[in-house]
Amino acid sequence: MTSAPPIITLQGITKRFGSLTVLHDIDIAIARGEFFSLLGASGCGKTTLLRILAGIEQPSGGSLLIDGQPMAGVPANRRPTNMVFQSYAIFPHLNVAENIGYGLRNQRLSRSEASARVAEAVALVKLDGLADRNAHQLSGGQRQRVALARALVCRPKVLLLDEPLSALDKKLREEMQLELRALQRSVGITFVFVTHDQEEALTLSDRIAIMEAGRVLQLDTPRGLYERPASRAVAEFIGTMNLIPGRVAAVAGEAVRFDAGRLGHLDGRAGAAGLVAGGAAFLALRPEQLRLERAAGTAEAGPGRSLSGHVAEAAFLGDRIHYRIRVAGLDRAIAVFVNNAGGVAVHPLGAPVSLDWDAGAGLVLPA
Amino acid sequence: MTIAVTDPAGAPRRVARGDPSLRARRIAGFGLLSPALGLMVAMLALPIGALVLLSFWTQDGFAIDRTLTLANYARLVAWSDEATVWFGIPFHLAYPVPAILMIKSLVMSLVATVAVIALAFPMACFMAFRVTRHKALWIIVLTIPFWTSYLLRVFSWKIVLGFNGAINSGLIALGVIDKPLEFLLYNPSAVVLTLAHSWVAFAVLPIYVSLEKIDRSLLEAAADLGDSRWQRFRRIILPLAAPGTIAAALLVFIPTVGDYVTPALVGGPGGTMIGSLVQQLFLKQNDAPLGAAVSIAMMAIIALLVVIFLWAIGYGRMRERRR
Repeated sequence: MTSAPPIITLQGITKRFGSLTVLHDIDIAIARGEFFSLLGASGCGKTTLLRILAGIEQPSGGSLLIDGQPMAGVPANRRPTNMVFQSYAIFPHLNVAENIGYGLRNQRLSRSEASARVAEAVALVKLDGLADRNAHQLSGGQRQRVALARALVCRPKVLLLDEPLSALDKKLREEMQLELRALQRSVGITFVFVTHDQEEALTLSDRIAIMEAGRVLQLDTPRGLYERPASRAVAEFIGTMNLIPGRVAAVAGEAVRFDAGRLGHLDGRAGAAGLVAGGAAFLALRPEQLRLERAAGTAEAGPGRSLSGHVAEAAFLGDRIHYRIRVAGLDRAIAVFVNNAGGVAVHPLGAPVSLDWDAGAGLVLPA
Repeated sequence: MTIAVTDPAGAPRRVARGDPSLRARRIAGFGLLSPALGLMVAMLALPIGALVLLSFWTQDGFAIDRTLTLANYARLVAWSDEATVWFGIPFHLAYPVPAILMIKSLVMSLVATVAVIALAFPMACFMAFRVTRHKALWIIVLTIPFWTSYLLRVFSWKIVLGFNGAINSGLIALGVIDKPLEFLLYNPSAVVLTLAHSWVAFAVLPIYVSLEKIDRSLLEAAADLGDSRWQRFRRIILPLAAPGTIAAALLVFIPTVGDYVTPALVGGPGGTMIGSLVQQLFLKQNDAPLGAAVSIAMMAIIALLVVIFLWAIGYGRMRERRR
């Protein structure tokens, strides 16, 4: 984050619907020009938080500043934000150009200036030639572009996007992700993006806030979240993670000796503060950081960083091979992803294998 | 002859018209339609056909002359050098009563329809946007007055507006007036008031449905794009509710033009409408063929006006865009 004042400051934002609290004490600061994502499963409160930013919902407590201005009592129509709705909310009685120009009618612009801005926005989202189309003649991807252009043409300080890609098919979605990221860089507007798709959040975002049950679990860059998840929930949410249950045997600064029960003692590093000897914990291992060797007992890394088992499942995916390794004493098979760098042999089902990992790859997280 | 159909698997195939499964489906379709179709033929098509036929006959004393002639229609438009003046409009017609009553009925119905929409729209808005729970209950409450007969409701206006009616008695009791107001009842205003009251609930429902169908995220999007409450109403709600509102207006306008019960009960001599004339021609003046001709002419004029109106406002296009 830069030292410039944040464009959005949320302090202690709480939202209750009747007796149900959907947001607990949210504190987030979003930097100017940032692509910021709110990531979480449905019902975690991410959309409610976005609607509070837009002014469609009012918080039950806490304060919200946008560009230094307090937003309490400022209705949606007077906020410097615009939103792309999940359903796109394209006005069915207006054509593409009228939809895109809708918000400009509320800004004091000359007719020629407004139509120039609309034409510019139409070109920006690549809808050239469709300006006269009616809403119902558009495909899903085109509707999404209209919704985007309609919001961007108002030149908001912050663009709010509520799962704008979730209604699109996979190929179109990936295409739109790249376009959205490029668009955000070119217009330089702060984007706040709500999604339940972790891959999408990782692809697009400068920073991500992972939400669960109305709380922010962790707020970091995509790389930070992937490499340093601070809790089991985040570790499981971002990418695939093998979790070996056990307890902390000893803590020495960053280095943690982990007691995996029947599997013996394993080495790891502390993933979160507050680990104490004897406390229940998980050893977290990324599948792509594990090495697989044929035949048991030949692992190179030594007893503290290896396990042995046999192949329970193998899936050839072209660029990589996914294995599930059954290890005696573990309920869940260990996932191992091996890159297909060419000439990699596929271990047959049932083959005895050993796996090991580099020092520092094992992360100990509190249970 | 072959026709293209789509089989359940989705692949188009060409079948002969005699395909037994297709024929069975067609028979099933007609089977489902036949009660409604039968009722329509018996209760609508046949009577209208009979009425059309009757309008081409003539009354000859107590007997009906069954030679086909346009004489009845000719009477309705027969020229006269002497003009009958009605509200400053000269009618150069030998028999001006039907024409005058037609225009008067259209104007009265139009006023009643405008009043109905003006009353119904806010009610529908309230139910669609303000009521969040027990919507069904509100709809039932709205229809409670309609659990009594139409005749009773019209008659009750007579009690409200009459010489010794509720308004006059009340005003006298309050000392506002010392003798009953006579202009309340037996005039066109009383007819318009009664018609508006009778039809308002029928107009609320189609308007309510069209408002209810408006996706709430459209209103949120409009607010997000800078619209105030009033602008949202004008730019989103009004255009999207227009098809339902127009349907409601037609639902009120078309039947009220031909109404004769209301004018008969609360209209007095000044409040007669075209329906009253048809009733008189059939039942009192013993000239059913002329009455039939007036009816058919009225139907044709209303149909023509409705078609012109819908074409002028681009209703088809509006419906299509609204989907």
